[in-house]
Amino acid sequence: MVKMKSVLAGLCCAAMLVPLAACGGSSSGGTTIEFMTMQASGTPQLKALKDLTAKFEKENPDIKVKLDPGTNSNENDIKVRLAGNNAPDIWATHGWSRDRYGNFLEPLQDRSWAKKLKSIGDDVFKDSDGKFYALPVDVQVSGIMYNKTVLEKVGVDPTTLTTWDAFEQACDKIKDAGITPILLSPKDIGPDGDLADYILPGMYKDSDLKNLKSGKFDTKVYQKYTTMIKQWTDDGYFNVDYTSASLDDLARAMASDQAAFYFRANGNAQLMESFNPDVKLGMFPVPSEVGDPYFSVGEDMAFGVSKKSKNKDAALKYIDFLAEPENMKELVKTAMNDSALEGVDSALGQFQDTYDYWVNEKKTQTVPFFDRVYLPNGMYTTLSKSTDGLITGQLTPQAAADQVKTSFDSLYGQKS
Amino acid sequence: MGKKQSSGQVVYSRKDFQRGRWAIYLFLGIVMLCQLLPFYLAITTSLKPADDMSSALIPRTSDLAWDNWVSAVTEGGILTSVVNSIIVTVCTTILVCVLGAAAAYPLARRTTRLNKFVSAFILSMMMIPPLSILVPLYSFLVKLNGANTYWGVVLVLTATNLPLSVFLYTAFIRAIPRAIDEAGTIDGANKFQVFIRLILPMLKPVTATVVIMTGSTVWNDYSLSSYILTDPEVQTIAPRVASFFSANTNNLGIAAAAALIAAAPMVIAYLFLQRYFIAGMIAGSVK
Amino acid sequence: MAKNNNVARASRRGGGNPFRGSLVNLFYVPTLLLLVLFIIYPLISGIGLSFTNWDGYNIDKAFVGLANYKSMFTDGNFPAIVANTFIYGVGSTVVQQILGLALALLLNARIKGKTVIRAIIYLPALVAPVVMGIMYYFIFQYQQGALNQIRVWMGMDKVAWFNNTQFSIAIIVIVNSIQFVGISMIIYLAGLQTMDAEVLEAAEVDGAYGWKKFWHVQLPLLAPSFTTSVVLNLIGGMKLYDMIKVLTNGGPGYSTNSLSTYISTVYFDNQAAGYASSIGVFLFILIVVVTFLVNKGLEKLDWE
Repeated sequence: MVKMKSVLAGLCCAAMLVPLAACGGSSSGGTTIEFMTMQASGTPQLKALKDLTAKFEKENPDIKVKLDPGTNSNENDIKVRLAGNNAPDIWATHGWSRDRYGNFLEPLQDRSWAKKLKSIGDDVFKDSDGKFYALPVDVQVSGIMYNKTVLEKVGVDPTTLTTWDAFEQACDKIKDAGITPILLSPKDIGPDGDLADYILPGMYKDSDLKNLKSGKFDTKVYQKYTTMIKQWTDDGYFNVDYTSASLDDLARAMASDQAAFYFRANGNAQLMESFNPDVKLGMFPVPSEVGDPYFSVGEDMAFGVSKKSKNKDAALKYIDFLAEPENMKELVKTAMNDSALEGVDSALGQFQDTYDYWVNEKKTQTVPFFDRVYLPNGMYTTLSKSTDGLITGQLTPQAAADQVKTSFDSLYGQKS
Repeated sequence: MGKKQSSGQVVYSRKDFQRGRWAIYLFLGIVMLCQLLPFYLAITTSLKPADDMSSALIPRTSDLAWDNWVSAVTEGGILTSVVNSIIVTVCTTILVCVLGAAAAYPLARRTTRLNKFVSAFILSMMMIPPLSILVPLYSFLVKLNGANTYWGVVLVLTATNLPLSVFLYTAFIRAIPRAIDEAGTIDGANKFQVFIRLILPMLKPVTATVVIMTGSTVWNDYSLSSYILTDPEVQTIAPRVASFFSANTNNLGIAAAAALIAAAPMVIAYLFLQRYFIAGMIAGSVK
Repeated sequence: MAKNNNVARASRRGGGNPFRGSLVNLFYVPTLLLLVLFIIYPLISGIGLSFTNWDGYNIDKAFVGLANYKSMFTDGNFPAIVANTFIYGVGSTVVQQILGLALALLLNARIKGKTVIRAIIYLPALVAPVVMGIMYYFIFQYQQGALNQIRVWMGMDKVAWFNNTQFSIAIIVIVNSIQFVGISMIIYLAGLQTMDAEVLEAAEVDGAYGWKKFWHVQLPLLAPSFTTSVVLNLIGGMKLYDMIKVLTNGGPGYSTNSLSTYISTVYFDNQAAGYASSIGVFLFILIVVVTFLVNKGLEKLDWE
């Protein structure tokens, strides 16, 4: 007992002393800005940011930048910070700089780098008067990712996959070869949500899109998508471990040439390359029922400065620093996308050749990410969950479309 | 296997026991296997290079990826967060034990209508879903300047862990015969003295239970700590480990190594405390 | 001793003994203070939010009356999720009582290495449920999971363990029970060890062995431990969150959600913080009612 008491007493003393010591260390003058990076520890993205920050701090010894690493609940984290009126000085906006965070962010259109901005789905990124709220690092260009080795093996030429019929025939061939045609999992809301987000633009005619924008949701049009997915499910196009596969499992299947198609951003290829450095990947545009195939584009890695930040000047200085081409280059390299500023090379990695083919040779059109333009903020989960319900047989194509309509109506009402 | 028993030990006869001995060991063996398998898989995962796609059950041993462990330590700043966790856990646990034991004494001994209500009220605090209080609690802490401070997180976690501690202490004190209090009162001690001199020393086993349960809950707390502590300099271990599992890239090897490092101090604390759990209980004092 | 006598004299004289009577209640005031500040106050604000259409982060919100509470009745996912919450609560409680009690009885006997065995059984309870969930996932994973690996060795096909809702729920209940069985075990062990050895020896002399002794002598004495363990497991099971998040994330569809995980989805992903708050209030009331009913039922068993 005596021993336990003395151990406890010792621990108490230690506990009292450490905070004191910590206080002494950190209050050494100058400004400290907090940057919520939303990038996981140990990722190339966070490493690049750390290196650049070290360089920045060297040039500006009176400013210290604290990088908060991300978690798997990044969007929840920032929402709680905003709700608590305690936003970080800088945070990663990932696709929502205007529609979700616009009220909280400093407009950046007057910064020196602003005129170098490429078009990144401006009707989502910018206000009608040209204001925008984040420094974009890269433009996400998304089509259907495919495994070159698999398609070669089963004899499918990806340049011919310009209609859904051709795509489905390819899937049949792949399935007959004992390979998973399409990778998907509902465990993270991403894959199912992206599937809907990538395919939907090709289901909506211009007049249908106008209806959506004015708050009219027609389940008939949405059912074109749900009916197709239902058919894919019945034909067995999705992976066997659909329900429980983690993003890791999906990446591993692609990396080991056990799957052909993946409806996700190119950045996911990094994980696949870490599993198998020799994996061969490409991308092709998404087929459309109402026009030509297209790539979806939009804001990806982007950083905004809090309007209420007490260290706004320092934060803006840091943002300007990141926007310098030589620094931007380092960040773009980690994104596997096109660069967002002129004068910075794109870095699509192994997607570069297929991307160049489609964009430069075939002049493939680009459309903005569907949910960000045509659906009210907060619909992505419903897209994902209704797709999941459909695939697991809990919803009919009709019921899945109804579920999306219900969510659309309630969120659209909330917005106005 | 003689019949000699230490006090407090349940007496089984030889007859009871030897019949089913092998079945008992088999059962215990299976349960232990269930408990150890996940740890084994975590260890093999932490030592697997990313491009090793073999099963975690039998990993290839030719090239163990110790660099996962190195990365976990160097890139995640995990050692700082271990120190932070020790500070937060020790302070919170002491507060929870002291306040909990004190609160339990009147609740166990003076079962008036008011105290019954207070007991029920405190117990019901355990049933609140954390998300129901998260945002208002966070805003409140920000107003107090308690975000990203040790005292902020310690007070919050003390509050959320107190109900369990009060509940366990109350149940335990109820089991102590009132004869002991009465004897104390006859000797002329007041309630405060009875509590300090007679009851408190008997609470050692339940305190060990409260310490390990509170300690592990606080050590592992993610749902509140991850919001209260965002600054890497004060952040505790659970949010830090979570920073290895982000939305798009999860390097499970590093994450598994980080998780094992995070679990180790708890296991050591448990082994240290285990003998206080059950040993000795009321034995000497009741008689 | 001398001090005691002084105090005794003081109280006989009726002198100012500050801890007489209801003043002993002062002992719980600090606890109540902390609870009111850090739980009740936020809870009341949270209840306030349940009458608004707040999205969870913007400044503006409007009062919508009982609309959120009404939506619970029209929400098609709701009945199944409430049912799941009960299954997680009751299922985990039952499994943990049976396993925990069995382990406690065995490890209270003379068994070689029981300290080590106890430590191993308690081990998973020391690890964060999120982390533990990921470790369990390594067992049930389709491609490289331990179970499927064993099936392959035995010449069987791999199984996608989480493709079926009922199966997924069962796995979650079992995994959650196994992780925390150590807590039930030590509660029962503590109960067994407080038993007076003399009572048990007397019982044996009277010819009560084995089942008879367990049923008629030990079990009634375990009533307080039983109540403690049941209440804790029931609350833990009904609030279950992390394990579901990691193993199925509520899928397929919404079918394995508990109310806790559903609150999180509604709050953050659907940006309906008002509705989420109302579900939070519902869950809180549900657990309070269930726990106190169970507690009332168990009190009859109590043997004071």
